This record gives sequence, structure tokens and C-alpha cells, in this order.
Amino acid sequence: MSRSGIGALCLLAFSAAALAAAPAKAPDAAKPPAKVEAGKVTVVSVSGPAQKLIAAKGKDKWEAVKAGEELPENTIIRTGLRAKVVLKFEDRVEVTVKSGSQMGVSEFRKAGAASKVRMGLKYGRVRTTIRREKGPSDLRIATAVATLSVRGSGCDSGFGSSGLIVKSFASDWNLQYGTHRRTVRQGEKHKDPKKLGILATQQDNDPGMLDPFGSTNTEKNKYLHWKGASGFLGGGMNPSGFKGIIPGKKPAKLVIPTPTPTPPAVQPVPTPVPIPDPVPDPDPPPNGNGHDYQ
Amino acid sequence: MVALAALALPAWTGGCSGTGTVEAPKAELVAGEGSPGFLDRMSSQTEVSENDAMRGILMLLDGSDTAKTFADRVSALRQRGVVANHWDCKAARPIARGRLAYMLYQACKVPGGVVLTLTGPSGRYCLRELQYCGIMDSGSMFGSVTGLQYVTALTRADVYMETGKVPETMNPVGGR
Repeated sequence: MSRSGIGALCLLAFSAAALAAAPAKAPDAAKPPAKVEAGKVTVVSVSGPAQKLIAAKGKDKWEAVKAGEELPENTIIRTGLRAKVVLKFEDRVEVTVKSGSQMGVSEFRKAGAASKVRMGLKYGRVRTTIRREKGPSDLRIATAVATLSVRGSGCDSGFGSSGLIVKSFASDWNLQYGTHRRTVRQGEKHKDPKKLGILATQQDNDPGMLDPFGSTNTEKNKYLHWKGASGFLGGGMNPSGFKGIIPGKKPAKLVIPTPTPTPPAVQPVPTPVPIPDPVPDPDPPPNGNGHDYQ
Repeated sequence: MVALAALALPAWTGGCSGTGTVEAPKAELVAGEGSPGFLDRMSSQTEVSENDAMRGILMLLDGSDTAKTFADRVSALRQRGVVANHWDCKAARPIARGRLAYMLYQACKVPGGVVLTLTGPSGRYCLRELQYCGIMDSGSMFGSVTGLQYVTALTRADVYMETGKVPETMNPVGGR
């Protein structure tokens, strides 16, 4: 038999196998979409003074955080000096709230293998570790100036008077401020006030001091008109600006979203939890220093 | 020459020369406030009073503030050398950056440079040392401190006391 004959036989065999397998896949295609379920946030460990405020209770009463307890959505945690709280979002995410921090968990949902986590960081530091092997995770950490979203699996982030500083220790993370986007690569630390203006928030309202070459008029206008955004508890960024902690101005008051009635354990949704597309990286980096900006 | 030196002295000491008086010695703060609540309250303020600033320093040193009045706080910190004896203290006055630097420098026992070693702590050089260490942000020694700046500096100092360095994600200069 010639080579072309053998090739034709192989092609026929593969086609027959594919046709035979097709009916077996039909039930999978008709499978209903994954159901969204509320996940459980567990306190793994607590050291030092730490308190929680559960917004769903409708009381402005802070209580001590205890190891082993479960936290509902819309819970705010604050730590004191020499304190640390470790939270576990089931088998997906582990968050370490370090000393002198205040953060909130606004949402934790699961849909099949996918998970969705929304957190806010008012001040302080958190370390986030994501187990990507368990499934795709849509995790976002909102601060008053920017939103950090997952692309990788681990990063340290801190928000204080120097602005937001992010260091990725595993894979890449996306950082978004308004229309600006930036990818923080593994082992890299975000520190570029001129491009994003994140570190500018606490620099005495003097954008001209940010870099030796000054800022463009567009950048100055952006720095001086940050207002109107909410950055806590998953509020994300409002492209129109910033409402937050600028020296000399009254900072934004922590706003907790009105708690909705407890959702049923299972909610039908037409589609699974959306996982954001990775931000395309410009190639090559425009400034040639290994950073990519959009 | 003597007159010039006399003029320069207040600037050298960070404007902290005085007779050691304490104004509003009975000024009180929220009783039973822990460090989580204190940091939360401070983070939303536009200025930090000397009374609040000293409470934070006591929390940094002892983990809690047991003093009942402003005079108690000043006395407790003077005994440790964190507050200079000649400072005039006012409970409601916003803390100056130089004074805060002096207190943090003394509380953290930061090893100083040549000038600090030779001349002793002063607001000016404590601020420069702490800015170099990454504990305090840039700015004038006479300027006031915002609540978030204070909380951040206190947190950095806390970590510095534990580990001997400032965490990279809190360091204004991006870590060293």
C-alpha cells in the first residue's frame, strides 16, 4: 500500500473515532452553567490586637477577631501594632493582614472552578496568595487610588502615606488607575509616580516635585482633580477621579455598601463568573526600562 | 557670633526649645482605646495633636496607653527620654514633623549618623535620619503631619523595631 493510502486510512480511522466520540460529548454541552455560591472566609490565625466590624449586623461595633471563626461578606478587619490576621478563602486564596492595616472583604463567590473575590484596603499592608491550580480566580484589591487585580498568584501590597506600593512575588499582577494600566511583574515593585500618579497622593499636592523634569499639564490636571471615586470595599476606581486621602483635605469616610438580604446558597446565572481578560502588554516597552504602560 | 548662634539654636533643635511647660495637662483621650481603633481614628484626621501623637508613641513602646491625662503621657515619655525635657507641650497643638521624628528616633533607637552621634538628637537631624531609613516621608520639620502619614510612620516604626528594617511595600523610597 502506498503512503497516500496509509494516510487516507489513518484519516478515516480518526474521523470514525471522532464521530463515535461526538455523542458522548453531547450531555456535556447541555450541562447547565456553573452555579454561583457564596464562599466561606475563615480566620486561620490571629496574633496581637485585631478587630472586626460586620456591616450586615447594622451596628457600628467592633469586636475582637478570633481564630477559627467564619466571616460573612462585608466584613471589615483592622489590626493594631504588632498584629497579624490570616484569612483563608476556602481553598483558593490566603490573605495575610499585617500590622497597622484596615481592609474589608466585600465579596467572595464561587462558580464551579472559578472564584471571585473583592477586597478593599484602606491603609496598611496585605499579602495575597492565590492557588491557581484550583481554578481561575478573579481577585481585586481596591485602594483609594488604584485597583490591583490578579494575573498571577502572589503579591505584597501596601497603602499608606506614600501611596500604593505593590510587589509581586509570584507571576504578574495588573494595576489600574483610571485609564492607566500597569503590569507588575514577578519580583518587580511598582514605583513610578510619574506614569501612574499613585505615589503622588501624599506628596504635599505638588506634582512638580514628583520628578526632576516636572510633569505635563495633563498629569498635573489629573493629580489636582482626583475626586469622586470610591476605593474601598470593592468600589474600584471611578475614572473621573479620586476621593481620598490628600493632605490638607478631609479624607473620604469609609462607606460600607448597604447590606443586601442574604443571597440564597445557590443562584442561577446565565454565565459563569467572568474572568477579566489579561491586559495586553505593549511590545516592546515604550520607555525601554522593562515596564509596560498603556 | 554669639548672637548668630543664639538665632540658629532654635532652628537646630527643631524649634523645640522651651522651658518644659505642659499646657492643658488634664486633657484626656478616648478611654480604653486599643491600637486598632487608635490607628483607624488617626487615619482619617487631617492633623495629629501632640496628645494623640504621644499616645501612639506609648502604644509603640508598651503596646497600650495607660496614661489618663496629657501630663501623664508627657511625664512617661520624658522619663524614657523620648520627649525632651525642655519642650513646651500643648495637648491640642498639631505635632510638628520634627518633633514626631525626634520621638520616633528615640523610641526606635535608630543608630544615627555622624551629626546625631556628635551632637545628640535634634528634630532636624532625626527627621533626616528617619527619612533616610524610610520611616518618615519627605517634608519640612516644621510642617504638620496628616493622620495617614502618622499611621504610616507609626506602622513603619513598629516593623522597624521588630525586624530592623522598613517593609518594602511601606517604604517611601521603595526600599533599600
